[in-house]
Amino acid sequence: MARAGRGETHPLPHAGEGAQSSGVGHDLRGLAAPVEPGPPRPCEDYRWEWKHCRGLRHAFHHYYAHGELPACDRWRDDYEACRAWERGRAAAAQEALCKSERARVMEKQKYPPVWTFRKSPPPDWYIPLDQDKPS
Amino acid sequence: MEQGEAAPPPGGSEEEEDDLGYRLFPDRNKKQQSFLVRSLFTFHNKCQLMLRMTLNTNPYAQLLLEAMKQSGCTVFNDRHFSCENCDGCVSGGFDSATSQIVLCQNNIRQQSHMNRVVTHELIHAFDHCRAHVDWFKNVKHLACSEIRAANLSGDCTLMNEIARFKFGLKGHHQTCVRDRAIRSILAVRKVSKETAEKAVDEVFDACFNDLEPFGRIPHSKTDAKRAYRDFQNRDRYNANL
Repeated sequence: MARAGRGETHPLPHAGEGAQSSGVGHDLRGLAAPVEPGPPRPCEDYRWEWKHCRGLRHAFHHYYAHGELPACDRWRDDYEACRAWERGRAAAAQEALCKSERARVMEKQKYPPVWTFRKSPPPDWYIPLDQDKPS
Repeated sequence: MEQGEAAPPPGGSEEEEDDLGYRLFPDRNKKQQSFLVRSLFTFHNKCQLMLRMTLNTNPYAQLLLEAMKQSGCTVFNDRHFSCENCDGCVSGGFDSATSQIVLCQNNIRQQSHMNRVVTHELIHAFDHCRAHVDWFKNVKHLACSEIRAANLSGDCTLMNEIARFKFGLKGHHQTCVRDRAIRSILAVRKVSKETAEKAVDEVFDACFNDLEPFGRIPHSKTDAKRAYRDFQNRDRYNANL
């Protein structure tokens, strides 16, 4: 699911703990070799989302939360496009899949945010508690 | 009745503290009890044990802790959590002035309840970490965080609502989120019910659909684990989009 929808509007520097990064290209970071693009998610993820969407439990939860039954065809289409991408690198499949995922990101940005995002974490997050107490 | 809500800052006049809900957390800013008194006469140790269990095993909490770490706010148990006695009708709170999550050791008796309260308050902490939330002066900001916390923490599952004798099915989750957000605002701010309702209604669409860092409404631990997995894979997702 898209989590980067707001990443571009409120970038926060990592706290020096080291960024957790996984996925394509991570092992090649020390080398100059270019990364071959792949599907945004593993194809198995699309299959899982599609099967999960069609399940009774999810249908119930969706009806309880949104008042309507879920639409799962999009996950199926994405899964098929992903498989086509993996098999033959079909340009149409790549484009369709990326378009679908970009649309998911845009849907999450449908409403303007209520608050302003920070560029750095709160300055007093790590201040020891004794220093917070008024003298 | 159980609630998690944003707690007020320490200091200020007594009247100001009451306006900000400080009365619900009488142990804030009091000298800590001795170790012996705490161990023998309060639920402090039980609270600490349940908290540790939540932070180590609950996928909701683990995702939030990871998201906060990535945002620059690593959470430390000793610094950012506090088990205290609270007023009878509250389960926890987030004190933005001290960057601390308060857990009401006298009101949280079950592990499942602890899981839910910790998740709820971590969502407030996450919002505090990633955005300039004006907890004290802007009711809409408070309303937005309360909507998100009620939506994503599992507060409004069907079973929890039935246990409160609130019955409904079609879209009832949203009704519950709205009502609990209003209730939380009224508990910590001296505003009228109309003001609270208006604030919640104005921000509801934007905040109900803000699902960070989960990316989905986690209706179960399976959903939360999936959301955690997606969060860990987000770099690949962004790069290949």
